[in-house]
Order: sequence, then C-alpha cells, then structure tokens
Amino acid sequence: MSKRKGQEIFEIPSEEDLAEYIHKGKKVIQHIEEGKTPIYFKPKRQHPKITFTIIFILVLSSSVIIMVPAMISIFSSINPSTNQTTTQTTYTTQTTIPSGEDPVTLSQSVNQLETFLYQFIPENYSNFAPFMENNSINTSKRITFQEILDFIWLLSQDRDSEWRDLGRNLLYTEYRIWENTSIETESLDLKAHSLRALLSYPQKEVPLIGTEKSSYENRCSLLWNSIKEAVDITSNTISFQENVSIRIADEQIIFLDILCAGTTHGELFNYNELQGYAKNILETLDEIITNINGIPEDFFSNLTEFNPIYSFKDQGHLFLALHALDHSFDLGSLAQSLIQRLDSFIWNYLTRVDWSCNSYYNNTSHKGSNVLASYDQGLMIRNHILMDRLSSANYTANTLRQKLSMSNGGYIISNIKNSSAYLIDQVQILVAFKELIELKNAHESTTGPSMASFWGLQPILIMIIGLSIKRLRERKRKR
Amino acid sequence: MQTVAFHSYRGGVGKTLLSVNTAVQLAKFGKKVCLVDFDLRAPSLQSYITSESVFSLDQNDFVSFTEFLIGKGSPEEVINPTKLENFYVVVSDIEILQNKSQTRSKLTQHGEGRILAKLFEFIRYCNSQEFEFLIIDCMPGVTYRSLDALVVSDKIMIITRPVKSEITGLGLVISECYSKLDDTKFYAIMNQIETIQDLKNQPNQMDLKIAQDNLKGIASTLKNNNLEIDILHSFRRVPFVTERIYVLLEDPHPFTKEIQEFCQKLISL
Ligand SMILES: Nc1ncnc2c1ncn2[C@@H]1O[C@H](COP(=O)(O)OP(=O)(O)OP(=O)(O)O)[C@@H](O)[C@H]1O
Ligand SMILES: [Mg+2]
Repeated sequence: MSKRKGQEIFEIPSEEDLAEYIHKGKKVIQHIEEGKTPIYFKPKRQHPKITFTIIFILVLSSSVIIMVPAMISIFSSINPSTNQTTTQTTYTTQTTIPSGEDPVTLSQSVNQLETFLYQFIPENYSNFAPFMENNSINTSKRITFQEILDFIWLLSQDRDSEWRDLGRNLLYTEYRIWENTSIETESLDLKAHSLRALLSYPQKEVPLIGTEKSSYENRCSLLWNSIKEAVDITSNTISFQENVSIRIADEQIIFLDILCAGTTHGELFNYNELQGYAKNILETLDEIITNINGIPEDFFSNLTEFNPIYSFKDQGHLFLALHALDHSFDLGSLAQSLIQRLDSFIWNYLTRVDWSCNSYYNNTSHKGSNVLASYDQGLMIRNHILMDRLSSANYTANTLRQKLSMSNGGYIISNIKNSSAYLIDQVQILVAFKELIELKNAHESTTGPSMASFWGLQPILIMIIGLSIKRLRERKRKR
Repeated sequence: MQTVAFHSYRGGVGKTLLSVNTAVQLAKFGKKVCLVDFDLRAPSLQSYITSESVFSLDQNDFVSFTEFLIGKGSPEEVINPTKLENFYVVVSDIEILQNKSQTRSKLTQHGEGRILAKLFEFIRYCNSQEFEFLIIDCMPGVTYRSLDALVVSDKIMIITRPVKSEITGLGLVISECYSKLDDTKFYAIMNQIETIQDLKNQPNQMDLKIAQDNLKGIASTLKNNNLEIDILHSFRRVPFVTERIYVLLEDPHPFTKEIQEFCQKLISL
C-alpha cells in the first residue's frame, strides 16, 4: 500500500538533464571545496538564453584568467624555475597502501641483488653455481643443463642490455647449445626446454651466419618436429611422456612459450601453424580449467579430473605465457578471458593477507602453503605489472623485501631451506624489480605537470569558444 | 579517505549484502570505516545492523540520514559508532519517506543540487574525522539520488549478475551515465557467479552455455566503451546466503573468504 510512495517517486532524469546535473553537481562540489556558498541550480533550463550567455562569459573570462598567467610564464620562461600552478582541484584525499618504512629504495635493492648475483657467475662462464649455502658458494655443486636453459630463457626476458646480453652470450658463445647433438637423445621435456632457450632471442638478435646459422636452424627444426609430435590431436594437449595419459601443467605452458617465441623466428616457423596450436591448446585449457579457474599441477586421464594441488609457479608462468600469446597471436578474446579468470583465481586462492602469495594451494583441504618462495613472489610482482597494478606490485615487492631474509643483498627462500639462495630465484626477482621500476617511471611521467598541459589546453579553449559562438548563432537563427 | 559507492542498474543484485560485509571486513582489517545507507528508496542497513548483537544498537538509537540531508541534523548525530572497533554506520529510515510529504518531496526531487551539497558536506566531515573508507550503498538505477552518490564518489563498484537482462542494462547505464563521470574510476563486480562445481549435479549443457555466453557478454559490454572498466572481483553464488553479516561469524563462512579477498583488492586500488 504505502510502500509505493517510497518506491516510485524518485525522479529519473532524461538523458540530457542527466549530463547537465552531473556537470552542475561538480560545480557545486567545487564551490564547497573553495569555501564558497554553493549555487544551487535548476536542472531544467528555463531561461536558456541567460544561462547560456552566463556560461559563455564564464568561459571567456576563465580563458583570459588562465591565459594571462600562462603568457607571463611563457615570457619569463628564460628563468627555468618558474612556478607552475595547477588549476586541478581534488576534493578528497586518497589513501594509498603503506609503502613500508624500508629506507632502501627499489633501485638500491636492484644494485644489491646484482652484486649478489655476480657471485654466482664464474669468470669463464664455465661452471655456474646453482645455489649458495650459508652465504658461500659451494663450487662442487654444478648447475644442471636444464637450469642453464631456464636461466637463459629468463635472462632473455630482461629488457636491460647487460643481463639480456649475458643470456645471449651464454647461448651463442659459451654454451652453443645447438651444437650439442646429444639433445636429440634426451627426453622430450629437456628438448622442449632446449628449444625454448634456443628461440628465446628473436631472429634479428641471432648473431650467427653461414654454416653456423644453418646448423642452428637445423637443430631448431629437428627439435620442433619432435616436440610437435607430442601434441595429442584428440585432446589438444601436449604430453612429453609417451603412453602416459596424465597431462602436466608445466608442459602445456612450456609449449605455449615455444609457440610465442616461434613467432619471432619468421624464417623457421609457419605463423599459421603456430597459431593453430596456440588456439587449440587454449581452447582446451579454457574448457578444462573452468572448475576453479586456475591450472592444477596435472590433469588425470580424462582431463576432467584434477590433481587438487595448484602451484603458484604454474599460475604465474601461465599468466606470463597468456599475455605473450595475446600479444603474438590473433586469438579473439580467448587469451584475455583466460587471463581474467586466472587473475581472479590468483587473488581468490593464492594471495595472502600480507600481500605475498602462497606457493601452492590445495583445493581439497582449502589450504595454502605458508612457504614464501622468492621465485613465486617475483612472478607475482610481474603478474601485477602486466595488469598495470602499480600499488599491488609495490606492496608485494615491499613484502618480499621485508619478509624474506636478506643476506648479502640476496633474497633467500624462507621457511624451507633457510640458508640457501638459488640463482634462478634471484634472477626472477631482479627481472621483477626492474620491470617495477619501469612501470613506476611510466606512471610518473604521465602524471607530472608541465608546460605541455597549457599547450594542451589551448585548442580545447579555442574549441569551447568556437562551439559557444556556433551555438549562439544557431539559437538566434531558430528564433 | 576513499569514497566507494556500490551501484547497479537493477535492484536486488547484492549491493547491500556486499557493501555491508565489505565495510565490516575493512574495519576488521583495521581501517576506519563509515558505511552509509543512501538507498533512500528502500533502506535496509538498519535491519542488518540491529539483528547483529555484537553492535549492540537498538532500533531507536538512530537518527536517520535523511534528517541530515534535509538540513535538520548534524553529521555527528547521524554517524553511529558501534561496538566493533573502527566501524561506524549511517542508516536511513523509510518511515520518513512514507509519512511526511514535505520531507518526501525534498528528498525525491532533484533538489537543485541541495541534497548533493549536503552529501558532499557529509563526506568532507568524514574526511576530517580521518575515516579511511566511506562506503555508500546506493539506490539502483539512474535517479537524481543515485547520481548524487556517483558524483561524490572516487570509486564506483558496478555490481552485475551474469544474466541477460542485466547485460543490456549495464550497457545502457555505462553509455548514459557512467561515461559522463569522467574523473571517477569504475570497477565491475560480478555477483552470483555459478561455478562448474555448483552445477556438477545438473550437467545441463544448455544452461552451461547460456551462463558462459552471459559472462562473455558482460566482459564485452565492459570493454566496448572508452571507460576501461575492469572486473575487480567475481563473487560466487553462495547457497543459503541471507541478509546477514557473514564476516562477523566465528566459523569461516565461504562468503567471508571471498569478501576478505575483495577487501584486499579494494585496499590496494
Ligand atoms: N553471492 C550471493 N550468493 C547468494 N545470494 C546472494 C549473493 N548476493 C546477494 N544475494 C542475495 O540476493 C538478495 C539481494 O541482495 P541485496 O539485498 O544485497 O541486493 P541489493 O542490490 O542491495 O537490492 P536493492 O537494490 O533492492 O537494495 C539477498 O537476499 C542476498 O542475500
Ligand atoms: Mg540494497
């Protein structure tokens, strides 16, 4: 009965009134902000001519007001330290995530990390140390072939020349992986890691010529041919182990990496073939990971039964791969929709209250691990960066810098082997921190006030004045 | 202070449930929060609050926000501290709307910007009291009063459910309304998403396809405009959710975890 009174009587503006209400509402707010008494308004224009003339005069006078000081500042621009006043008003203060009271800046951390990393790198590049124990390198431990391959792949993702060059140098000068004929007899898994490393630098950065170049290309082709044989065309998944029906997440992801890297080697690969594989695998993933939207460590025989363990490493790697795929191929909305789902999975199940991530999540017990693996945190930061989430990336980076114990500037996996620092982990963090610095700079450069804002305003002012004159004329004509 | 409005084109999509639980959880995370019931058409916060004994607030303890909006009360009078540390509530009363025709017309018409000015005055007051979050539960759709809330907010959470009728509404409200609020940030929140797990017992391919198409429809509606609205969070449809503050329960309710994750994102924005 009386319910209706409260339900239907709220006025709904027409589309035109709506725009005007918002516009004038903001003016009211601005007036209050400036300590003036707000001028209330009638949304429906009753005296169009008068209000219009007032607006026109306002525009004119405000443009004069803006222009005069600007002109002055132009003429006095011989003095570079001219004050810039911004006319922008904000009406609420925003809280930001605490940036942590760490006196060490991010670029200082990068420096420390780099210094730390050099300890792993032997002078003749012959014998990299895979990890450090109790602050010292144990030279009797040798890095495995696969670790070198992954190390190269990771280094190639750094945009900075020094580390990027190191990877290229290792691949083409020191290790010369394509000459290693024994790869052909290795497992498919190792072959895939090898091919991914071989393709990690785009064609135009391959410093090989003549017979060397053709032998490199030949090795890549051989590897590609045997790897693509492992694609199961009925299930559209890849399996590196023969006659095993279980599908491993990691293997799918490496294959996706290879497909992306392949597109930067136009002479070696057929783009359409790569895209076909990419599409098929993504469609399969799209179907089979709908359960909770992340990728489980492995899928059992019928691909709809999952291992309940979801490792962050897989999610993070898949996230990077999906962004690269989206970039390299025309996949419609497929990659993007997977990215969204994966992102929400990561937030839902793997992000902890302290802004770090769980290294794994168990879907059956609904428990995450409490292990903070430095590699995972590095990946997490890079995931945030891909989504342009500066504050979250910052926060995870700060958590990482505060929580994981730092010795000699290196970040050590806490909780498990407390005293060991792994080469790959440190590089992952290095790449993440450097990307974060880049993102910060990008954000800063788009927000800084400058003279450009004045020049940017000019055409707008001219346009407003022009439009006002035009509308005035139209009105006169109508009369 | 961040002013965050929960808005939707349609009613009954979960604005109140999500905003109440979010506000309480933010307070539990240590943020000073003020939750405002600005759904003057169908205010419902009061019943959420009075049915939870932890707040120890009674029906008669409140001065309605509408009193303040028509110029009769002060901000201090309408902000109610609760037993939960950092959590403050502002409730609205439906009685006023129904019984006093003068008040009614003041509140329902566009008010020449007066209600907007009052609302903004209120926000400035909260800012001076060092609140960290002001959460506004809005009236659905496009009325002058929902516009008021949208104009004064820094961030707007657009709640949508993945059903066909809401996709059209979402497109409409984006092009007609949100697109005109140029310096506000918009985030989409999906509510009542069905997961495959939930559908396990009814593997109806037709329904599954419709559900997936609807999700895609929302994603493309969010994309096809110049606002760049990202999906901030997707809430599952939780069976047997009623109008309660789940995050207050001792035993972790599935809904609590979701709200906690959402709050983390909100804090990080
Ligand atoms: N994720 C969910 N899972 C299950 N039930 C839900 C979920 N979200 C909301 N509901 C239920 O939907 C109903 C409507 O929610 P609510 O009242 O919060 O929506 P509203 O948008 O505020 O409505 P109105 O526009 O009328 O104010 C409530 O009964 C609530 O418990
Ligand atoms: Mg409601």
